[in-house]
Amino acid sequence: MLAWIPGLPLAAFAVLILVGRRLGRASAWVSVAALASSAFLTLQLTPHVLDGQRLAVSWRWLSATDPAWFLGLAVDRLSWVMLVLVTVIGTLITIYSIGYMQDDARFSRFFAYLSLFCAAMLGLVMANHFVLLYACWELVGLCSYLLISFWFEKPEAARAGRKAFLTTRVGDTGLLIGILALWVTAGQLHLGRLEEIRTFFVLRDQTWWLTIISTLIFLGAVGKSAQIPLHVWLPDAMEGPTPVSALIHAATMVAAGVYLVARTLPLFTPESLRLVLWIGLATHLFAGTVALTMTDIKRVLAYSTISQLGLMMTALGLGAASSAMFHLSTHAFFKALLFMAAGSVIHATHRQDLRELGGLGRHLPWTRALFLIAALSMGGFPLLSGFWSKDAILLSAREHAPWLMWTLLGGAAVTAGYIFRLYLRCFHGSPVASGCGTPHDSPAVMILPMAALGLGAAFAGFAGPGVFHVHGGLDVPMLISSSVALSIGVTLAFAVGLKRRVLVPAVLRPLGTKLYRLAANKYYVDEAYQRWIIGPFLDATAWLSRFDRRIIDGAVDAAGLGGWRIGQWKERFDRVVIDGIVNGIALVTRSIGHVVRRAQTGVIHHYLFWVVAASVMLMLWIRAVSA
Amino acid sequence: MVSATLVESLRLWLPEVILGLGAMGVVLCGALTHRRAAAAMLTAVVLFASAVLLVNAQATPPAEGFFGMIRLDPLAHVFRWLAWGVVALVVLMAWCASDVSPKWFGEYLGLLMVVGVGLMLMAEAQHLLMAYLAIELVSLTSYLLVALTRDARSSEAGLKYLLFGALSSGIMLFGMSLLFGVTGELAFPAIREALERLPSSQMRLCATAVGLVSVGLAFKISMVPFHLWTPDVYEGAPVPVTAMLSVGPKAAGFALWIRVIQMVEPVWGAIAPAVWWLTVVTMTVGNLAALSQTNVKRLLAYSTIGQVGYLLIGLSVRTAAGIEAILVYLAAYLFMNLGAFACVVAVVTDSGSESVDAFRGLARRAPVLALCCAVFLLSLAGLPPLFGFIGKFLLFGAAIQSQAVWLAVAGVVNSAIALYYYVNIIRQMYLLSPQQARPLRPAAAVQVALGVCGVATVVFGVFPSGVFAWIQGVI
Repeated sequence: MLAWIPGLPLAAFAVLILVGRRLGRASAWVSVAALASSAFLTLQLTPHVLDGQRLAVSWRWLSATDPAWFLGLAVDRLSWVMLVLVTVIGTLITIYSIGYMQDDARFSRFFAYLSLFCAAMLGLVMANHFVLLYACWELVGLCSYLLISFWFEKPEAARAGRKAFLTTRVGDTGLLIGILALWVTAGQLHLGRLEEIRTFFVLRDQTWWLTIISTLIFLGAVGKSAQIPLHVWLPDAMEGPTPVSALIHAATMVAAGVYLVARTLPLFTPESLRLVLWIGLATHLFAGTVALTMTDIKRVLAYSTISQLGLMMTALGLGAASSAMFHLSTHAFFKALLFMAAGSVIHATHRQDLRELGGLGRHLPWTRALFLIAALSMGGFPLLSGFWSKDAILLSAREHAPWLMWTLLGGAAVTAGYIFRLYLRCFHGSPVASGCGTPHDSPAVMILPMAALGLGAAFAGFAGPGVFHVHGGLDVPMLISSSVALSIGVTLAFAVGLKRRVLVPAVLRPLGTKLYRLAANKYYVDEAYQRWIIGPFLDATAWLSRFDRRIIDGAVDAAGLGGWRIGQWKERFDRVVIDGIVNGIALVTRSIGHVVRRAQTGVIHHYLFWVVAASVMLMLWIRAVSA
Repeated sequence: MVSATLVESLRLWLPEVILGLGAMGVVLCGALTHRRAAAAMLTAVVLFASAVLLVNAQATPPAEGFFGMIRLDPLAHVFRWLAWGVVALVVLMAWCASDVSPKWFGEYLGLLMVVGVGLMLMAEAQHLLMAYLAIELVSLTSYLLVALTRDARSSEAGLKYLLFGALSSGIMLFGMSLLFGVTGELAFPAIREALERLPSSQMRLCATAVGLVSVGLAFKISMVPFHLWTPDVYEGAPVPVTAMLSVGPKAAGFALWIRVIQMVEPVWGAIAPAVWWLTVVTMTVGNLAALSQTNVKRLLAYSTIGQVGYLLIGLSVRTAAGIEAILVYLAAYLFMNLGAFACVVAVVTDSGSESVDAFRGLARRAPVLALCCAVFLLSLAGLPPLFGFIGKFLLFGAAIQSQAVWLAVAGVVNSAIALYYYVNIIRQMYLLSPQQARPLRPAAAVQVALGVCGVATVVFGVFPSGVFAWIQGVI
């Protein structure tokens, strides 16, 4: 039965890619039905999984290797959480897309890709073997590429798709090398045997191998989850349709990196965990400050996603996998909702620049309310889902080191700041004149899934103790400090973001401007890549091409000239000797053919003479032999 | 007692009985109704019935029938199936061939079935008289079939075949009479016993007798230098008949020869060297002569001679592996050669031309037909992963196993030569532009034949273990 969970969306993909055009509008419902059935099947597993069982099916795949490879699917608590997220949120977003993609020319193609993505993502989550995991890992990357550049007529979209694919490939290569290294050293790639692998290395006192392998695996996660320094693709990926951003680039695929690290946590050593922690923390703060300055709605959300993924990585670096997964789940709900609300805004106004938006609250009451719920949840408003998961991480940080907790609280303030800046600038303030009449709320097919996600964003946090075994109950000092961080963020967003007050004292203003410009330009990472990696690479290729032309070509020319001389000589040899032999053989062959043909006169008494003559000769021969 | 033996023998021999009676029925049906469809349907029913009976016969243990005239053992059974396959596939090709007048259609199908009975008898014969009778049954019906088109070319071919055949069977009959004179026996097992007790002074006479018998068989399987009739007859006969001649008598001839060699084991040593040499000569002459042919039927005639040369390797080495290889290769040859002829039927029916040029641009006019044709030709050339490769592999393997490496070398060199003219047709189909642009659609029955042959050639090439299992049960 497990195979049905990824199998149904895969079947939907097959149907849609083959006969999608004929199905027309109905194709969306094929996709929805497949995903909803997968969701239903996943929810059926709930009691078994919460009992702590591990459900698995596997098939012998390669028996030439030792040990034989059994590829298969397995569900435990960790993957079950991901399954629920992918199927439930996937279903809701697919329904939402029906409204959002309504007028698109490649309607059915979109749903085909979406189904393929879901199938691959479910396969990734359920894989019990590194090889299967890697295959699905690449497949979700491919789907991401296809969907980012879904509107490939736009050059930016095509470029963004390529950038996403190439950037994540850097990480994927790391992952692949890690898997190969694991196979070569431990000879075991089964995901259910990670503890054995760990003991294998520990017993041999080779934990440095573990550090290398886990770092390489983490590199894959860095690419997929858009962590520094491979984060540059995610903001550009916003060129894709908004439902794609919500599903792939907020809720599920980008979380795959976090999932991978959580899944392979037994392989991580203290050294590699420290790396995870630092990368996560740096990403969290860096992306948060960039999000404060962006003016494109979806880019704000993209940097916000990067920042939140950084927070999850930080938690993983602390070894708090359950807190990280908890935050991953709540984040999936509220971030998907934020994207869908942003999509609703874009759908209504056909604009996505904050400078051209404002005062939409009156026209889009539903969108506004749902956006507010998601923003509050993300900011950590008490009792909403984001509050619980963020506090779980903060508590782990406090156990680890107080300074880390304070840093993360600062990050929380930044989070609240940018998300409320976005909220206030969109839905409050003076309406900016827009040329397309009065915007109105989206159709029910978009609002209803958003409302369902809103419920999740508000209440998913109560599943924390039950599902994730994180610390339940309220920690009062933490409640107060995180609320203070939230209030600071909201206040600043209101004062600076909406009312345009200048709060920085005059002395520090030049520094402030400089810092602002730094963040607004995304810390010049793209430029640095262009200058230090892509530029030199292009220079090097240009230089190599010159080198080729001058030196190599020169050498080749010289060699050619020499070769030509030898050739001339050889040609003479060929003509006389080799051709002589070949022609001789041909001549012999042809003359045999002629003889045979000559014999084939078509005159019957010649034939009969031949038969008699041949028989007589044969009999003489036989007599001679038998003597 | 006598009647009980007869009844028992007829029960064992039921597939042939049905086929023979059916043949008469079809001839009558054709003569009375003058309707092609009626004769064709009756043929289909008879063929189906005999197939069912053949399946039933599979289970019966080896037995002798008709007072030791025939022997129904697993070896015979394989050849009964081969003969049945030849008749069924050729009937499919003949179904809608236009070169025989509808007036003679009933006789056409009926005679094909009689050939089938003769082929089965050749494989079952256990007695010199029965062997001769079976060969003559096949030969006489073949003469009629070749001349059935009744135009000048066809009649000439029929007459040539008749004269050539008459001489050969005369020589063979002479050999048989000598054998009878020396041993005083006609049944194979008895002759074998007599030969073992023979004084060495009579060995030479006996070897000569066996050599003369072999001449008749060599004529049937187109072994050089008794192959001269082949190109002329193939060219003149209707295409389905050519197809039948290129597989049926060859398979049955090998069956009978295998039995004859088992019978004359004590004196075969004297004849073996000649057969070894003629094996190489046969494949070389066939392939070299095929190189310069422009008529596709003549080309396939020489190709057949070449293929017979490869098959003779199995006979020359005289080991179990060699006989097994012959059986596998004959099964492969049945499908790939009849498949190739089905392609020729389709092309000739469409264009009326038997030239290799008629294949030009076939890939554009009939992509599936061209693909099938390419598969058959490549299989004939012996390229993996097709059925023909498996057969050749076993043949050459058998040669190497019994230390006759140079036979294998000759086979490989010849395969390389043969590749030239097989691929030339593929080149015509795929690389040259067609003479006519109009698409070519083979008739439905030919499509069925193509499908069966194509699937068998590919599937048994990729999964040969089923065939191995079946054949290994025989030996």
